[in-house]
Amino acid sequence: MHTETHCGKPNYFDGVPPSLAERDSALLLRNKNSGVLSFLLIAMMCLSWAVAVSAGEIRGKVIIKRPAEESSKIVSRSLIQKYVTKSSQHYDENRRRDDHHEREQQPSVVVYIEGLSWNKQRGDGGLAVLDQTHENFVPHVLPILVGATVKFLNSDDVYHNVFSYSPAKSFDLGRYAKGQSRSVTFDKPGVVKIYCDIHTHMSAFILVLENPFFATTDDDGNFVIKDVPPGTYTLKAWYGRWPEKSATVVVKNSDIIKVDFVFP
Amino acid sequence: MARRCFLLILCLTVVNGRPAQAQLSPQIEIGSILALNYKNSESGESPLVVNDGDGSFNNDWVLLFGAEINESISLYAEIQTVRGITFVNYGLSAIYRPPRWKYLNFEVGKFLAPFGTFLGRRWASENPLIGFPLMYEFTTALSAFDLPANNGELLRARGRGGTVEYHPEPTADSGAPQIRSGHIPQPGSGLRILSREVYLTGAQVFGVAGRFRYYAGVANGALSNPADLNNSNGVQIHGRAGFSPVIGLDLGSSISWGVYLDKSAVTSQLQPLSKSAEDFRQTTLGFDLSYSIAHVQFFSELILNRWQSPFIAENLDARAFYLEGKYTFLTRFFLAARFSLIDFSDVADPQDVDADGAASESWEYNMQQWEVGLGWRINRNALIKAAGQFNRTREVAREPADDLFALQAVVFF
Repeated sequence: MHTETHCGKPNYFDGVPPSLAERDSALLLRNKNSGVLSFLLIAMMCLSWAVAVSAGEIRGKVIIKRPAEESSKIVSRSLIQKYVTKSSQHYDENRRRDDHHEREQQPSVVVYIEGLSWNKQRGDGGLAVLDQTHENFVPHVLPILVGATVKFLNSDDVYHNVFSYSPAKSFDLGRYAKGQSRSVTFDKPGVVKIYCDIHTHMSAFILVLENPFFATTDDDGNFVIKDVPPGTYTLKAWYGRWPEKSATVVVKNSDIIKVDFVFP
Repeated sequence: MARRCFLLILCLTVVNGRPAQAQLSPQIEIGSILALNYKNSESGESPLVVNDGDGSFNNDWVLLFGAEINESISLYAEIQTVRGITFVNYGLSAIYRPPRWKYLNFEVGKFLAPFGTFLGRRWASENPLIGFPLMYEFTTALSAFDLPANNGELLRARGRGGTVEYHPEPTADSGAPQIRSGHIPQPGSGLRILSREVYLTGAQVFGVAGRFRYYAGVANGALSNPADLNNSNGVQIHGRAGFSPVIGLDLGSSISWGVYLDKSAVTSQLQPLSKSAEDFRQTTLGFDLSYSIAHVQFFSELILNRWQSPFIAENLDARAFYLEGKYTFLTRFFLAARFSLIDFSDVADPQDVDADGAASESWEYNMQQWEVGLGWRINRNALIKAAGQFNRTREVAREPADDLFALQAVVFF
């Protein structure tokens, strides 16, 4: 793990999550109400700007060195449906596309700040979408703020049946067809493992986090967490395959903190 | 048999022996299903004999192996215990898909019969109950090894499918029962309409084209006696067509026509007729419908079956049906229920074996069965089921009821 501190203005680039000011503005703009709201909007933007000016930024890179077992040819997975129960369905054109997609998919790591108190009244957690397409959950890892609602969309020509038995959220959405969706609100922090009861090879993770200071790595493993209030925090990197990595970071006004993680 | 299958698969692999592409390197997958059962049965003198021997209420362990050699060739094998103790090779097949033929797959070896819908979900991890529908479980008085000499013999053997024996002197193949394979009938046991787990030995083509799917093939034996290649049974032709008009609704029709008598066992018995085992067939036609939506699933199958028996003038027909439902509630729990029945055709009864004066009797006791159960998914790879099964013989018999209660713990991946 490597920690480095830079001073100066933050550099924005494509793929960076929206800042707090942008998020708050978007939330309020959705209401489209009266002049009172407009006043509140302006006041909030000013406040957010003030926060942003005094806030820091954490950025870095997550490097994943694949362990020996992952390069092995032996993969323990359920054959129950693949070869017998749904034998015919797994020899259509989707099969290769799915396998190819699975192999090409870059692992996503979620980097987040642990223990930073957050006023939940500021938002309802928002809405996120977890799509089911080509018999895959997309994205494979979805970080959300506690209180957020996730819409599980089915984009395939077959049924899906999303379920989870995780302590943080247990649910079974039943079977529904293409174009339909079911929504679940996640009101408890934790890791929620998502599966499809029909297609055993489908899985995803939803990380329900206590504050909005988190980011998902891009294809190159880079991440940026913006608008972090000054303070000393524990920064964590989560990747389902291995135990979390953590680092202590000290954020000062307008600082850019650089933190790299290496898995495993 | 296993050696022949292996050689076939090896030949297929060599013929297609171009190098695997880098992005699709060989991958081996494994799976396992372990089912432990406890049952409390009140059977005794029941004519049903459903749960005698290697019924579905015994402990079971299945090991699955799959290998994707390259884009065109996949191998599949299954090993399963029989009666909880002995490992028997159940399936070993190779699937070949021509690179440019989108809707065509060839399979050779020992593969699951593409008949109906229950076989594909017969394992404890997929079956919402513990038992099987009657057509997969009920053993009739008809044997592949020992032939009833007349209608009276057949009628007197009704309800004794678990230990059917027509001739006091053992034939060459009879004697002490031996475990040949978990799904293949053995001397002393009656035939089920569909053997409990029908793995056919032969070759087939199958594919999916949009909402349609199909299977067609040639194998050895018959659905009631799916013999291995070296069991000297005749040719079986099988086929299946499926159609899914809307998501969640599946319709299908299956057919099988094959030789069910064990040639080596019945040749001497057939000498007076100057006929061979190949002259007597099992013909089975099946229709299935399944529907699912939200937390509810329904499955049903109707099977029309006909056996020809050398010394019985009439065709021995059977009509079997089941309707099954499953409802998931409270995330981890599910309720399931299944009703199944079998009706058998009448044959002449000149000896009046029931002493009821009737000129004809059904050649086997008509049966009906209810099974209801409750399941609890402990986690994604483990579940517990409790079920009660209530079997009834619709004609008066020695004891019409055969009920049991069972618990099943299943661990699978």
